[in-house]
Amino acid sequence: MRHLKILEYALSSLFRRKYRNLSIVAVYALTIGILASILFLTHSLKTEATYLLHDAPELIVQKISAGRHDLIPSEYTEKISTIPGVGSAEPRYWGYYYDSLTHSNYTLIGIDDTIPGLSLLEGKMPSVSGECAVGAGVGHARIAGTGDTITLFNSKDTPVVFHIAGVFRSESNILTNDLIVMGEKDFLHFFELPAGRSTDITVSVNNPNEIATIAGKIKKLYPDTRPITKSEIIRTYDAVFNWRSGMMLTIFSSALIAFCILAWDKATGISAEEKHEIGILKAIGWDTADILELKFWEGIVISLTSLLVGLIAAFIHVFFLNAPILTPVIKGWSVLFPDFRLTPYIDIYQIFVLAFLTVTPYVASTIIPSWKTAITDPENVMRN
Amino acid sequence: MLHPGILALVVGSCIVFVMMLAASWQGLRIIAGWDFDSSSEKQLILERKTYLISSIIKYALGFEIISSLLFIYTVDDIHAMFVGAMCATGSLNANPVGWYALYLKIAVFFTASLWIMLNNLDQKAEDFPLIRPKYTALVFISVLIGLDLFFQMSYFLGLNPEVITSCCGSLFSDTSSGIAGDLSSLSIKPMMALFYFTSVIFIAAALSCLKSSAAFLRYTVSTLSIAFFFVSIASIISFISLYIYEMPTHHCPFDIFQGHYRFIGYPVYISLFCGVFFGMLPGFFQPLKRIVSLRDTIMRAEKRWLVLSILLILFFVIISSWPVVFGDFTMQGY
Amino acid sequence: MDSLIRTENVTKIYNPRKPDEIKALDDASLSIGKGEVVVLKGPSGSGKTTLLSLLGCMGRPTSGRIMVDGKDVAKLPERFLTLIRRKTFGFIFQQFNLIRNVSVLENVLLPLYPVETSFPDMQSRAEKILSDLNINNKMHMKVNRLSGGEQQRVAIARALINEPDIIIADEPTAHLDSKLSSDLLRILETLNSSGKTIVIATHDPFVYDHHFVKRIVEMKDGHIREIKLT
Repeated sequence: MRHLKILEYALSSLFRRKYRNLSIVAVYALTIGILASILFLTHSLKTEATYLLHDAPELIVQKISAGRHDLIPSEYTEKISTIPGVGSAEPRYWGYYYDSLTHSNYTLIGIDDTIPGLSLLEGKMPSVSGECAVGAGVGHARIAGTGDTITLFNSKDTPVVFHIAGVFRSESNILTNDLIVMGEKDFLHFFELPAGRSTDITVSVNNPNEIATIAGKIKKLYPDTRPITKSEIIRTYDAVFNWRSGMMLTIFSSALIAFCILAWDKATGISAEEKHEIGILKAIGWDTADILELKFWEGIVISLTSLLVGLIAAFIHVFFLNAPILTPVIKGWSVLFPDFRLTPYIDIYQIFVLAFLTVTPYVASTIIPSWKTAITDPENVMRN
Repeated sequence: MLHPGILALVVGSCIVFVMMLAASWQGLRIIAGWDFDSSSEKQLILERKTYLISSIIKYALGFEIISSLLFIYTVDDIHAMFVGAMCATGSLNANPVGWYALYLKIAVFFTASLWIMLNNLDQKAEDFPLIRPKYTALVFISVLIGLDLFFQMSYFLGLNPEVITSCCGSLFSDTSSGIAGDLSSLSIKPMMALFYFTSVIFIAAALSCLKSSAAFLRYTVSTLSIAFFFVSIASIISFISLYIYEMPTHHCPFDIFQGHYRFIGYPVYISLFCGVFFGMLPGFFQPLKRIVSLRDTIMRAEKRWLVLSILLILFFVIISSWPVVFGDFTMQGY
Repeated sequence: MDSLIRTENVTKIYNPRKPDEIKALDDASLSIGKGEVVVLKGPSGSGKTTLLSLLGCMGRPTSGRIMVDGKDVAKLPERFLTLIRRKTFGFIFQQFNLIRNVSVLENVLLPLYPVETSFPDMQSRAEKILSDLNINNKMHMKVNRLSGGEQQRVAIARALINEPDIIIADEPTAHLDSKLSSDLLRILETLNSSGKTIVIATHDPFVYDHHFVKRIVEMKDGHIREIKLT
């Protein structure tokens, strides 16, 4: 009962000084909003990446020449597919295309069949030469849909026209958003790739426990290749996203520190009126522990309110406005993406981490000022 | 190292450690200058400082409890980075120093909670009889928190994703060596018997304490409480977890915090830790009854501690036994 | 008469060993019995407010003893002083010292907040006291919208909410006109007749010449100079 009454008084006290407290909540919520935006964005991208990798092949084999990724001979494919434990080995044809018109990078894939894990929004996959299917982001960037044409410039700067046979699923799919899928022959022709070469080889493995063994065998068979396992990719993504988000958090933690200094300053510089009020409370029977509890509740209310406001603002910023401030850093400095919508992925752990990261320093910075207020001498009230 | 959860843990731990150092320093100054019979300004300031130190310790304890949960969750979250790790156990095995960080957090929970109880008792006496022992003990708690920070940082800095680690399946497996393996390979029936036997004698001893004021009973209850703690942890690993996971080989003590097991880990561990803590108090504070100004306060508080301990331990035993008794899973021939 | 509060050779020095050191009280001894009405009379700086605050367990003396209901409170830690203050004393301050922008009811209930009392009990106690003082119709109004006399009555209600044995009033008529002063003294007289002990610090003759005042303690320069029985 006592705790509830003190909490009630804390709320009334905060409300009576609403302008001062609102300014603290505003700055605090802004700081939380920035940190939350970072966490939401990276978590959403990470989840999206993990999801898309679900359908990825267990192994990808790349050829390395002078330390760089090179086109791989198709005969490697046949040899690899004979390794015991390998389900199948297929050459893969894909590459990047820089569209100077929209300043975006697209990923081009040449297929002779369908690719698992992709679903069309409308239309169909390319079935004849000159046709392509595009990701929603590409269509949006080029203002083109099913039935329209899209012109790309090959290495000789000659325009090549493709008819859009279909558009992929919604904008929220990282995998397909910047994709252009065309027939294998069209692809080879467009990029003028030498015959008998592909970009890399995808290998499916029957028993997941054997992936590392088979990667080792491939490496032994063809020392000039680099087999990459799916789990390595997942771990790399995880690490990169964690690293990027951690870096951003570190940078923006300076904002948090600045806020805590502000909080300390506000808490220490309490107005004469507030000091008088505490003196009155002490004079009429409140003890130092009661005042400390009052200050504690005030701190908690401010923290939780700011946390809620900051989280909501971050949610809107990231999932409705597409995080315009943060996106370039988090997604990558070198790769340009067309805009796409993020799928809201939030989990309680993220919110817990954020609450911890923001509430702990705030509470710590107000302990000493709260104590200084709480030890106000009740005698002073008699003297004034 | 730049994982958000890790950042939060390290930043929070550093802040708390600094706060504890400040509190210990103030505590030592209080011991040096304390003169209860003086009415000087200086004595008044020292008395007021005791409130500051109490506030700091309460916040530090609150932080340590929450950070223990955050630690387990973070360690679980990063398991994907290690080959072979499927849960928190795997992450901890990737750098065994992590286990020490966890043990230290448990130690800090108990010592800081004990300190807060001691402080509450001291504040109820009119003559602050425990000032010196209290603030000396504070230095010890600060050291523990410092070690916790050190081991946490060593753990996170020493993590190497290249290292292939083993998961709970192999750590807590019947065939592995070490304590964890031994615990997992304990036959279930004897372990169950030990668990229920210990809980019955503990509750019986606690109930007797409510009726009698004998000192030896209180020491017995405290000892049994500590013993029950270790027996319960062993039981969780040995058989309780099996019934919760409904798998005869899944002994991990951390996965029960996860959502797909309906977060059962929280009520289980919270009731165990709090029940054991309150059970420890009567014996720990029995010697303090010699102090005249504390005797009545301790005797009144003792009843509350015993009742709380009995209720919490009963609750713990019931929710741990629920899947054993009412679950669809049965262990036959184990 | 058994004393309810007693000071024995109490000295209070502010800012000791500093350039602005003040000896507010010097070897003051005073005994107040149950049901008495005592006035501390003297010019400002005479030590009346200091003595009043020490009597009311608001601070600790530099030396000497203070006995409240037979218990020496001079060395008690703050928390125990607060408990005694809460249980035994009700304060009426010179400037009312009500919390602005807070309702009458909430101001009156404030002393009860840190005490474990159920809300309905608190509410009914407050309503009774406010109605005895004829101010219950303004219960939910903010105190800064009340007149001086009404605020005075709220301050008295707050002083009574904990059912104290002793009422301490510091210059209670300083900001009141003669009618309000007379109303105040009438209320204090009623409280005294119901068994409460009253201690008033004042230099207002309207107060110390009033018929219900039993003893006048004259103070000068921190000393208790003379005790007159009226």
